[in-house]
Amino acid sequence: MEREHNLDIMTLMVEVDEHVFSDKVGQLETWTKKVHHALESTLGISINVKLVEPKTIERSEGKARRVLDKRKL
Amino acid sequence: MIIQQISVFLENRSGRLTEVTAALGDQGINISALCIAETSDFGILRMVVSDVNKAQEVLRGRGFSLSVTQVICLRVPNQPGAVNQALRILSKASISIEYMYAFAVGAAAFVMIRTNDIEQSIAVLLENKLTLIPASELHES
Repeated sequence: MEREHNLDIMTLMVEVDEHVFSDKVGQLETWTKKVHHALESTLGISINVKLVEPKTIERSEGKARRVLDKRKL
Repeated sequence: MIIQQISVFLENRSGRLTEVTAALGDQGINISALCIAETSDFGILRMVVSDVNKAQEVLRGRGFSLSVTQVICLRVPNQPGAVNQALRILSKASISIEYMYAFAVGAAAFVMIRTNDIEQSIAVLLENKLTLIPASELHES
């Protein structure tokens, strides 16, 4: 979560494993857009989708930290 | 004449490319050709290396997502119209180019090409007396 000009912006980080990875930039971008549209049509809000490398999202044995709130509230 | 190329998913963060080149270098794997297709968030590193299987093992061990694709390496004279001639041959055979990267040095120019039909590309290029470089020649030290 980030805040820009009084607007909250949510970005979903998605790890690209080898099932998703494609050698073609266009295919990865199409896939990203698909996720974006699926989220928007289900939740009714626009969420940015960012592709990241595998295992870059923090794992935790206890309570996982899945939300990073960078807003200065 | 088919060359196995490794493609690796990289985030646009400093040090990501270095991690790949260091890992390969440490294992004695040589990179013969390399290019990066980049977007604002990520890049796809494509490279031809001396040992595809070992490179896959090393990079997967470090958590990278990758795939192996087939490309061809064309050698043409380093002069105007040379690449055009090859591209026209492919186009005439209804072969689409997905991407390519190239450089020239001295009298020769080398073009790494990924098409929608590699076997057919090799057939028509050889039929038209063009020169393809085998993987073994790329990896000679």
